[in-house]
Amino acid sequence: MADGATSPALTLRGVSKHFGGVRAVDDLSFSLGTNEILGLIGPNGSGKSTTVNLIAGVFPLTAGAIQLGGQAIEAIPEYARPPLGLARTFQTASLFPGFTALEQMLVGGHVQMRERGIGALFASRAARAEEAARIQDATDLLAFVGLGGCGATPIENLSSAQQRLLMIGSALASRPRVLLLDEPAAGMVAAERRALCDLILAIKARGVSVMVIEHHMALIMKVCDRIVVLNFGQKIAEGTPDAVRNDPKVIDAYLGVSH
Amino acid sequence: MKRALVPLAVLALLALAIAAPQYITVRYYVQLILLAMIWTIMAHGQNIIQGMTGYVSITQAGLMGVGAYASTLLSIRLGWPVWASMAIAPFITALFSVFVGYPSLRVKGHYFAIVTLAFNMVIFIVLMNFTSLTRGEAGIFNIQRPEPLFGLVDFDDRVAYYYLVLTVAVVMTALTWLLMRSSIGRTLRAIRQNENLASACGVAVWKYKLFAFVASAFYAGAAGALYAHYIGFINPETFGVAQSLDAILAVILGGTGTLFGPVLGAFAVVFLPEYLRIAESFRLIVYGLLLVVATILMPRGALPLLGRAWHAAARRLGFPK
Repeated sequence: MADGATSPALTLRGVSKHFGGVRAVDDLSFSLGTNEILGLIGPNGSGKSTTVNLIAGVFPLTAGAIQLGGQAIEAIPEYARPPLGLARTFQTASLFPGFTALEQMLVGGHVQMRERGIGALFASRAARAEEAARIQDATDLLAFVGLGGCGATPIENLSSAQQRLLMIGSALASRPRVLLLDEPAAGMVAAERRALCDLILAIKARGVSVMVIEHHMALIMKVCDRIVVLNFGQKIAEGTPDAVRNDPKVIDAYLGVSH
Repeated sequence: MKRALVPLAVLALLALAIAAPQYITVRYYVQLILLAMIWTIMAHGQNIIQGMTGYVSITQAGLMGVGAYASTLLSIRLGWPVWASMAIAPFITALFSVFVGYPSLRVKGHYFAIVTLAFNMVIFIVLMNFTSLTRGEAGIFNIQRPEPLFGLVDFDDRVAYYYLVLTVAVVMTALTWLLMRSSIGRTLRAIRQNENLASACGVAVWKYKLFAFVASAFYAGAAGALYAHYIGFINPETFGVAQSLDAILAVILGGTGTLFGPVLGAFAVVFLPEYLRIAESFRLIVYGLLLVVATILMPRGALPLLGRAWHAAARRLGFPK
């Protein structure tokens, strides 16, 4: 659990998700502290991505409760959660094919947009001013995630690592308080992963609470304040990177031992 | 095509459309162009839901029928001025579409196509059998043209009506252009490209899909009213599923999601069957073959192909790119 001084940004209590007889997530409770980086690790099929999807609202819970900054969100539809300060990325690169990086960022920042009606259609002065401000904002964020100067680049022309960074930028464009990263380093080479570490720490420095799923232990150990370990949908360990790394149950289920 | 040339090309096309009835003496051709412009409005509407949003609707002709009958019945049964009836018809059609769109757009994927197909059939059956209102298969005759404008422009004149249709077509094209370049258009394209991600970005996807469908119905209603008061006779046959498929074809043939593709497609859908009359009984077979070949050879429609042809020609003639 988060230390008593800071109120959690995100709390899961007794969350379960059953697909037929499969208990993908089983009575899971943990919380993400404000301005904390929490790692969620575990073997394939242990329920990590399902947990992200439950928090994001892709499908309903079988049981349990989820709170975002003290507000119950489990009954709120997926599209209504980003306006409350929640953003996520996907395990596989999920972008808008045919868009430029900038256009991707602008849709990512959809919830920040106020002019959505007649004003937007007829390009009213307010709508144009807002669009210009959002383009500036998106351009700044592109530079922040390491894609400066890529605004006009079609998504297809970005490398897979750049697409991953764009996915993070697009999520940040909604100005979230809580960011869920689902395997952000997938397909990245060592140098790219090191840059990603710095980016995740920089995101935290901007006051965002981050939950990150990753298989690259070096990255997890470096950026995370705390780690929750899942196996078969259940939490088997929780604690600081050092505590988790030396936990026999974690070594047995996931990390493995060097013989 | 060079960006700066696009407005010039549009102006040239517009000038051509304005001049056409003055130079074309065969009334049959003026009529075909007029019908193609009505179909252009239909196709723009179809393009908003099918091309921009990525949801194929198979009820555009049915919605056109709603607009046509709404305007006709308001003017004949209730004695409304024709202008008022025609102006209100697109709104009635749009309202109608809310009731279909609301339940059917909450699901993703192909269910929407099936629901709209069923809706078109229901419209057809109601028009056929609600004879006390619609006179069924026999149809409604003697639908009036709009009242003269300021006592000056007499719309019983085919050419005057041509310019009315041209005006509406231009306004609807401009509206489509505004929608495409707006942030709303961008959001619709985002839904087409990756609906799950759009939802994760906080887009209330179903609202945007409903908006696109209702907008497409608005266009269809306008086209229906223009059609009814031009031809002067309507019966359900015109508003069946086959015509809805033509609207889909117009979008695909011309260029899905582009602004002028549906214009091109609308002219193709109106003119091709007419020109194929020389093939007499083989007409529909040839039409079908043409469509298959066209879809194979230009999967993204004629407009992108024309653009590439222009580039190639410009290179050969030594124009700077």
